[in-house]
Amino acid sequence: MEDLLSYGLLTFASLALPALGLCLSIKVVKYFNLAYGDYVTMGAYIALLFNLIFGWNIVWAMVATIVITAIAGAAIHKGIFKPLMERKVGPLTLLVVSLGVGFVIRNVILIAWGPQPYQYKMPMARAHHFGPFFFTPFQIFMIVVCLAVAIGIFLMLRYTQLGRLMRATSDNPELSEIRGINIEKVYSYTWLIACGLSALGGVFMSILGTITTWMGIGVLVTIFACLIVGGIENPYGAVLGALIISFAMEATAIWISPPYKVTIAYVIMIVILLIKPSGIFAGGGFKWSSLLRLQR
Amino acid sequence: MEFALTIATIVAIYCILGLALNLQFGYTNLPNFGIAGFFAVGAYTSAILTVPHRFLEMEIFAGFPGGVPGRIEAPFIVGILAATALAGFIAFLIGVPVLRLREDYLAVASIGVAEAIHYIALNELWLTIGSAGIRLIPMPFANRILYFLLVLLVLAIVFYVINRLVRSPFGRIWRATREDETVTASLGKSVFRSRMWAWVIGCAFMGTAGSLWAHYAMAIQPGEFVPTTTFLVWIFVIVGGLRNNKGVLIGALLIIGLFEQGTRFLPAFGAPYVVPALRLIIIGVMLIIFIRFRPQGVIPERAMTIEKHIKTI
Repeated sequence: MEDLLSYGLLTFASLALPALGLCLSIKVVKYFNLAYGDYVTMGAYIALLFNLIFGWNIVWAMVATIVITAIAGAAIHKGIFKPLMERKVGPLTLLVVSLGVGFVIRNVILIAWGPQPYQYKMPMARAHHFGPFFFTPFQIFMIVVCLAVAIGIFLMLRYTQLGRLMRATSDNPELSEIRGINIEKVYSYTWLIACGLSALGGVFMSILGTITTWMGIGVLVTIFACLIVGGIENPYGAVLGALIISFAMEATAIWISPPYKVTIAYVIMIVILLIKPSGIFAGGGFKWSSLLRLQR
Repeated sequence: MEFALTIATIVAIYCILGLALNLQFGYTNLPNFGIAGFFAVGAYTSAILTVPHRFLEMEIFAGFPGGVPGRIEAPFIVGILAATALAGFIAFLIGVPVLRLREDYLAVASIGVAEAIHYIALNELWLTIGSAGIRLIPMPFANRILYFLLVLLVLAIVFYVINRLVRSPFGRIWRATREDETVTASLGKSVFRSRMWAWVIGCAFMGTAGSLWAHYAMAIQPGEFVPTTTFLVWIFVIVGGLRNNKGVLIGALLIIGLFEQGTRFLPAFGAPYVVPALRLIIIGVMLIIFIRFRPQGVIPERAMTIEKHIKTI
């Protein structure tokens, strides 16, 4: 039980931010980027470059990684997706393009680093008991950073000018444009934030486990399950969904079998889709009839 | 000669995957990114059913407790039919929740299907022997040329069936759904049911392709059924011409035949993973460029015009 609480919280710290980032990008920019999982991988490997090759402290490597990944993600949006969006292609075309982008990123990383798994160079630390939890100081730092960033994003969405612009663009892009909002700028900022979050999540995940070139696809499936659980375009739901999914995953690892972590996230997603497709935090109660309904 | 035959067989198997994807994405707008998963279901079903008992006596399995593979020894025809049926059935089970999703979310959900199937193949040792994979899968006729002809025959059947389906009144509902769901639904057609049929038929054909692959390669392992397979199918369907079955065949020939397999014997350099990775990078860039400048593919969909329609009447 102790294990479950500790590992669950740590997994949550690594999943919540990418889930939030993906949620923001879907909510504001309105296309689904299948390369998002590979942005997470990219973040992990950039931090590895700073940490392993340049010998930086992991915290400074993390900061540099966030900046670089954010800029790279926004640049990919500007260079590849924006010209297509201007031609008014459908969301499915953008989806297929993002698949290509993801494969290019993954294989560039593969050529640069090779297929073997890596780990960051970090000082060994003793774990201490904190009430029911069992953490090293750095793990506490991770959880605190995760919560602080998540709350920061929520406050930003609610109270700052950029947050208001993002919500307005999300609600109605055409109307926002007519009212003089530069929506391309809003899109760029959204991708900066989303990719920064993906980098942070990627570093956290790699600290907890190992770094491999193919981790992105599992991450994508897992954070997508978080979004479905919380309701796809709901940032609060994304974080709460991440909480549920990460505890479920760790419970699976402890009581069933560690390799099925991603599978259980997927199974939860299917169950939620069957009983409440709008996410468990959306309004309206659960109806048994929805289990039998075959119409969309 | 042997080399050309190998490439031709692989291209033909990929063509079946491409036709199935074209049925789902081209004609019905269902983006299936889980091709590798249904391919794996077909390959494993067929392999588990047909692998001879001799397989269990191989050295690497000394001390292996044993499970389903090697105990049934069914003939090939049972394997391929079961593979098709099981892939279709799994597609149906997954389709019930997943087909309610918007198209782009369906895409991610289908990636998840493939991942889940991959993990099952990797971890359920009693069923799939795990990462060692299944070997000694019998090849029908035990002759590559005859087997190639068999694959071609299956390809021809799939091509014919899909072409007939798409031109039938049923297929018109698919295309109508693709263009406008609301209008189709308001005409009293069940959008969900027509999508479900396209989903199940397409995935079942992917299972058929998987079975053909298993009996051709004679050895399968979970590592083959990764998203790269899915990606290759997508790229040649898009390059060849979405919504046009002949374009899909040409795309498969170009991408799989010339590029993916044809460059296999060019001088390799660097570590063993460098050349395949470079190949995928080039294919990925090609995909982006194609969508940017020629979204309709090499051969676009033949649209029905009024004149043509009058002529057929």
